[in-house]
Amino acid sequence: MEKDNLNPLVHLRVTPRTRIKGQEELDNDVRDPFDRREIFDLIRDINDPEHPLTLEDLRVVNENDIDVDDDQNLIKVMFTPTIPHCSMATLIGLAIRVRLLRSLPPRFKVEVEIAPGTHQSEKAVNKQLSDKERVAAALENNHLLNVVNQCLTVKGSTYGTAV
Amino acid sequence: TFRYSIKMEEFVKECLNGDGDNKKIINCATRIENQECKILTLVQALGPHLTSADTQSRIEACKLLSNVIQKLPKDCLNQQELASLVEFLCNRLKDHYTLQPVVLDSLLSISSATNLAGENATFIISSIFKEVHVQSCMQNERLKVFQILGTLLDAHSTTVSAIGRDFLYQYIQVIDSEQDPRNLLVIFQLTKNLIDNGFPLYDLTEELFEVSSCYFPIDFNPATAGKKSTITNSDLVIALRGVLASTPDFAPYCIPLLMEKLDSDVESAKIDSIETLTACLICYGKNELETYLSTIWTSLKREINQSTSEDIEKHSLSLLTSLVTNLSNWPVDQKSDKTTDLSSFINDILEDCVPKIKSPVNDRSTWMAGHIIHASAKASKQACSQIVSAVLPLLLRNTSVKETGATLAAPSLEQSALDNLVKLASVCGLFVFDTHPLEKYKAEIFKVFMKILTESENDQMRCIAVAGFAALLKLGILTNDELVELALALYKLMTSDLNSHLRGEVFSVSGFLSAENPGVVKAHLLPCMVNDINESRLDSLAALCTHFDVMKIVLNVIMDKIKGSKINESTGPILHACLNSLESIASSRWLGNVEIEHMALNLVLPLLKYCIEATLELSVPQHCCANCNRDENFSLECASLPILKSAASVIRHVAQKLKPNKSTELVVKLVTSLYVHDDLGAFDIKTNQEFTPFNPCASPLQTRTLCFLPATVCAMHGAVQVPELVELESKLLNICLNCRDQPSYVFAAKALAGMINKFQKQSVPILDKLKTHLATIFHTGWDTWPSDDKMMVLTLVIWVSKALVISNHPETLVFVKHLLFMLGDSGVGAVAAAGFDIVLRESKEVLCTSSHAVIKLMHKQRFFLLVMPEILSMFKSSVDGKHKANILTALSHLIGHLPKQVVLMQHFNDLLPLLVQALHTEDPALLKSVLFTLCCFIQDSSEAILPHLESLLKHFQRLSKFQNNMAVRAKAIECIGVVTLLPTIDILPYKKEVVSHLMAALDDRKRDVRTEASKARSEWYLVGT
Repeated sequence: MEKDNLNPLVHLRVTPRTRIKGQEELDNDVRDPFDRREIFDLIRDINDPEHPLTLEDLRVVNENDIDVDDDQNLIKVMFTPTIPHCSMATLIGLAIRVRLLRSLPPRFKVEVEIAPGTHQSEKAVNKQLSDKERVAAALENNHLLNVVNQCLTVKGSTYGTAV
Repeated sequence: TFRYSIKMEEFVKECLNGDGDNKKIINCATRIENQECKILTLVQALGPHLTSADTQSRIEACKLLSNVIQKLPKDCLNQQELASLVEFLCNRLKDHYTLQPVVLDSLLSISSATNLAGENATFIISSIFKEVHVQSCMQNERLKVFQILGTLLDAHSTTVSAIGRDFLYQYIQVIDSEQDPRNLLVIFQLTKNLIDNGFPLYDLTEELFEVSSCYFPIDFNPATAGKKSTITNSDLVIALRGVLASTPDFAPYCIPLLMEKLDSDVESAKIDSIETLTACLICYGKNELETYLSTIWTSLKREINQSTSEDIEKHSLSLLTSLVTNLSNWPVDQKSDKTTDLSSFINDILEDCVPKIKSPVNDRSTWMAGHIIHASAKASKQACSQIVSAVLPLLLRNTSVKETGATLAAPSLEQSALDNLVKLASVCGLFVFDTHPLEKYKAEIFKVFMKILTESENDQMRCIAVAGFAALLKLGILTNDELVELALALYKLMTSDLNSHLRGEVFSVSGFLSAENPGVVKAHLLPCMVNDINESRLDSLAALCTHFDVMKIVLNVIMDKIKGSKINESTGPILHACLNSLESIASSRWLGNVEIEHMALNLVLPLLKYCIEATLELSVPQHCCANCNRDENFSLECASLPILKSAASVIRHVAQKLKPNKSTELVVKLVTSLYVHDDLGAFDIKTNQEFTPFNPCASPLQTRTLCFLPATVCAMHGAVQVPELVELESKLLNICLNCRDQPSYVFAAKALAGMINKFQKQSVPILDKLKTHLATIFHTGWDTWPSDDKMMVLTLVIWVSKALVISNHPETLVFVKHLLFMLGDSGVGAVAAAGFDIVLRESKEVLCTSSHAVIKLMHKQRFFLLVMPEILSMFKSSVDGKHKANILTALSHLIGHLPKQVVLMQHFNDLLPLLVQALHTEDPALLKSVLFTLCCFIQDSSEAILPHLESLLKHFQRLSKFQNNMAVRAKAIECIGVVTLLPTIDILPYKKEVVSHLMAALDDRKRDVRTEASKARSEWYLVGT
């Protein structure tokens, strides 16, 4: 298959890999609120569907493009496709959505959208991604589910080397 | 001889009737070896059976002969005997084909006989080629044929090559279409040896190449077929690569093949092709490569620029380097004006890379162009020179795009240009040039780096600039003025507030400057830094100590600072900074004997003196720090204690590196006479106070100076003898058992343990004494002892056990039993359990490798096997819950330190019930460690865990809600996640339950737990997809 963007820009990772823990984070009795960094950590390692790179490397997702309201149970993630005509935008959005669906408590309402002005069919994609039934239907499709799962498979296994 | 032949006939009869055993055969072989009878007598005795009409009995007869021959030493038979045997055996090959396997056995043994004549060797070969249809033999027989050929080729290469083309022709026939990996491995080696020995290939080069290269690229994966194999894919790949790269004659066939496979889509095939070509380059030259050069370059370019795998990238770049190195060695026509092959190839490379480097967008292709440039420049002096002069001006221009027109991409473009500049400069360091290609641009590069270092606010850029200076320093092309300018710039950076990474870089380049140009540092950098020493400066001073001259000055400065400060609360920070900086100087790796000896005399002794003087002064009541005065006693928080410990650590670093020589002996002598004889004169200390460190009732400040014993006597090389060791040991034992000051008795126990470990023979009496003493106290009123006193004994037992355990001492169990006994003690049981951690954990202070302790290999495993039965039986008989918890804690320490290996896995079934039992406790520390152990178990012994999977998952799920401790929750969830590494088929049934269970943990109040939960849940979602 011909790739949309043969030669994408690779960016420096801005957000450090390890999060420095504050004092209250070590206290079993204090509640740590959900914040944008935590959400970013969940999605930074998602693989790009057509390059061996992560969404973080390509700056498709940035820590600053995430809004979290822990009290109102709202999370909004904006992502930036590498090029305005990227045909993978919906797939990337779907992957982000599925990852968050699997990793966040169900009380949250999650919105995944294309950052304004970064894609030529922004509205259409956003509409697809926000339509719960269409997302559910998409995930019934085994082939699509496999592609999404591939994006969500962390390189080199989460738990060190397998035996 | 007649008698012998009778005997031989009897032997043959017995054996062929089925009464023969190995012993008789060996006996027969021994008689032949001792010249008591001849091998030919045996053959004669076998005669009637060999001519029997029954094939089976002919086989039996040959088997007997072969069994005897195999038992004979290589030099036993003489040339004539061998000749007759060879003729006899080769004739047997003509017999029924079922005889051939046995005959081949005999021939294999004979082929390595020392006295075998060349003509016989060739006869064996030609007979085999003629009579044995190798392709239709079993794997084992084919292997024998290849082995026979191999041994004969090794020992008789000249005679075999005399057979010439015919041999090669037959050989190719024989190895054709072999499929067994075991045989292939032998064949590949054989072919390589053949070529390496200079066997002419005649017109059969292509055939020989084809018969080997048809296996390329090898993809041997026995595991997928569920078979176990001792041969790995990489064994075969490397063996075949050896054949393909063995001769330049293969080049016309080999290069096209490799290029074709490089075009394939399979990553392993690509990498194998690249690596094989790299191997081939060793024997290729202009003749072989010239026609293919542009093809290779085109393919390489494609692989490097478009590959999706870092491995391919890496291998392609190293192939490029080898290729350019190869080109650099091509003959050059001095007279002709035409550019050399090398330079036109480099021009091709530049033509491709320069536009990418120039381009205003910084993307992957710019990045890869940089890599290509470095890989080529690395190859040779000429290449480096040509590339530097072409690329450097470009890079220099790119480093300052800002001025010409700021675009959005400018900063990253600048950074990558700078990065490439630094890399290119360090590549230049690989070669020695007559006229350095960097010389022309040096001033400008220096200016660019300096500008960034002084003006930029981007730490990453400044780090690169610092690395650039390091590269320039390494080239040694900087002038004195430039060096001084650099030194001053570094000084400014060191005194300003930097982030830790940049700071580290600045320190290391300053250290480099100091090592290469100590004069500049002494004249321009040190004076400013020494001027006013404060806490933040001391580590920069330590960083400069990479040259002896500089180090001497710095040591003096720091020691003066220390001597000028009295120990109290307010001087604590500066003293600690001084001592830390001394420690980092003393622990640096470059120190040689001269430096260490200098430190022993000018650092260790003065520092000891300072500490002893200080403690003497402070031990006068009311003279010590605020913490001590408040209780009118010497407190554990006394300001002097951490200072003493840091000083001991500095001294230990020096002592560990001291070689046994005069100065070392002097230090040991002074230290022992100070401690054993309370001789303050040894250190020239003048005071009217008494120094009695071994008096248990003396001021604790004095007994605490025992911390210098583990740091000196116990840290030195084992060959350094300690005078009055026995005296020292018995005084230490006295302190261990009677001194009530906690730090003091701990120091004493460590010192005693260090000596017992290192001086095993001399320590027998003290160990016996201790044994009797312990036996009495445990049997007389131990239970009535106060906890504090029990703790004293426990400390000693722990450290002595450690000393014995690590050296596999025969008395280990005696002391470890005391330790196990104390697990049941209501007062100190928990501490005794923690003692198991101390026993197995590498301590920095004493009993460690760097302190030259006697540490035996596998001591942890031995210790485990020693105490496992004790622990198991103790656990079964124990009724007290606390006792059980202590035992489990001890066990978890034990397991935690054991390398995850067979030993542990063998005891898995014994251990698992204990571990599961331990999962019921409420003690967070114990739970954490048990969960950690189980986590390792699951990763390492998937099969053993499967029967218990269901119950373990239940426990993990319960503990994932363990409200009292977040670490336990997180670890339990990690265990659930690690289960996903087990075979899918075994865990799939739990998927639904686990996934829904983990939902609750996603909203845990702690972020750590949530992170683990989302990790585990995501992995579980992927199970079975």
